[in-house]
Amino acid sequence: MIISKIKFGRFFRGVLTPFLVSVSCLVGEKSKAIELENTQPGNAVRGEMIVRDISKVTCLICHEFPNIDAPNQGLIGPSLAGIGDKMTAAQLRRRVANSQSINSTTVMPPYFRKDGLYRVSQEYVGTTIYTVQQLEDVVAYLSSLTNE
Amino acid sequence: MQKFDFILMTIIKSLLKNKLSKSFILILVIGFAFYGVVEGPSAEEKKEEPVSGYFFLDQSVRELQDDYFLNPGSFFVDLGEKLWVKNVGGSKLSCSSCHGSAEQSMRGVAAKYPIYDLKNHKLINLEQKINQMLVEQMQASPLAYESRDLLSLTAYIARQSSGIPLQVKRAPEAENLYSAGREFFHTRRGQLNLSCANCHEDLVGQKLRGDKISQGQINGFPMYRLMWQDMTSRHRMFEWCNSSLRAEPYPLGSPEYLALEYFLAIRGNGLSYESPSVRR
Repeated sequence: MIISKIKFGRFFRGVLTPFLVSVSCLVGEKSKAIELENTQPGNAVRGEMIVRDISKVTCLICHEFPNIDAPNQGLIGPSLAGIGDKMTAAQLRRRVANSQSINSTTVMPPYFRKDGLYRVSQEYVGTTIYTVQQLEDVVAYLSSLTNE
Repeated sequence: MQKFDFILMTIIKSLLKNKLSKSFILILVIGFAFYGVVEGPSAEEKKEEPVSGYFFLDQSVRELQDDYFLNPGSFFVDLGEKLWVKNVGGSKLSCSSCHGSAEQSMRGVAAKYPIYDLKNHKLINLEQKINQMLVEQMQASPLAYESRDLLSLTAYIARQSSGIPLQVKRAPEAENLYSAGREFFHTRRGQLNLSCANCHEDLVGQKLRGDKISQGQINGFPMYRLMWQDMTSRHRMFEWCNSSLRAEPYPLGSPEYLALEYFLAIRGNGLSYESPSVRR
C-alpha cells in the first residue's frame, strides 16, 4: 500500500510488491520447515522445566504432579501421577496441543493452537503457547510419569 | 413379591390401627409435600445465588478489610474526603458546594451504578459520572482512569454505600447492553481460549494454584489489590483478567467494559457493597 504511493508507483505496484509478498511467504514457509526439521525427539528433563515455567502457562496452575516439589499445585484438572501409563504419547500430545478438540467444554487451554481463537493479544497473536520442540519435550516428560 | 406385599400390608394395617399413628403419618405426608416449597431454592438456584469475593479470602485478608485502620484502601477514602471539599476548575466549586455532606447526599449512590442514561442513550459508571460533574458543572479537567484522585473520589463515594445492597436497575431500554455484557462473560477469548464463566461460574470454590476461585462479583470496588499494592477500579480488573488469558483487553471506560460492568453489577444485586475492600 505505502509502496504504491512512491513516484515509481506503477513499477512497484505491478512488479516489486507482488515479488516481495511472495518471497516473504516463502520465507515464512521456509522458517516453519526449518523449525520442524530442527525438532529433536522430546527431552523429558527439558519438559519438566517447561511444565514448571510460569511464563509458559505452567501446568501447575491446574494439575498436580507427583514428583514436582512446588507448593500449591492446582486441583482443577486430574492429577498427572502415572499418566505415562494411562496414555500413549499420541494421546498426550493431542490433549496438550488442543484438549478442546476432544472435549469442547474443557477449561484446559490449547498449548499448540493458532486458529479459531478470539482476540488474542498483540503480544501473542500468531504464536502458540508451546513451540513444536516444547510440545515434544512436555509429551516426553508426561510419558515418563509412570508408576514404576 | 407376594411375601413383600403381605409384610407391607401388615405394617400399614398395624399403623392404621390407632388414631395417633394415623395423624403421625398424615403429618409426615404433608411435611414432605411442603418440603419442596418451604425448603428454599433448588440446587440450581443455589448455584446462582451471589456470594461476595470476601468469603473466598483467607482469614488474614478478611481481617485487613474489616479493620478500617489496617485496611490499605482507607488512605484512598481519606484522600477522597479531602478532595470532596476542594475547590476546582473555572467554577471554583467543590463537590460539597452542591452536594453538601457526602454521608447524606452520596448514601447508597455507588450501589446503583452503572446507570443507563436515558437522555444520552448510554451507560455511565461512577468514574464517568464524577468526570461528567467535573467537566460540565465545575469547568475542571476530567481525571484519568486509575489516577490517584479518581480512585480516591470513587472510593470515598463508594464508602457511603458500605453495607448497602447492590441495586443496579436493569433498564428495559438497556436490555441489549445487558445481553452484550452477558455474552462477553460467556465468550472464550485469548490464546488460553477461556471465558469469564469458565472459571467464575463453573469452577467457583476450586483452587487455581493457591487461590480459591470466586464468582467474580464486583460489589467491592474500587478495591485494594494486595498483588499490586494498589487500588483498582472495576475496569482495570477486567483488563487484567483479559490480559491473563493473553487476550487483547478493551480500553478502560470502553462500551464493552461498561456493558460487562452492567451485567456483572446486576448479577450481583443484593450483595452488600464493601468499601474499601481488600482482595489478594
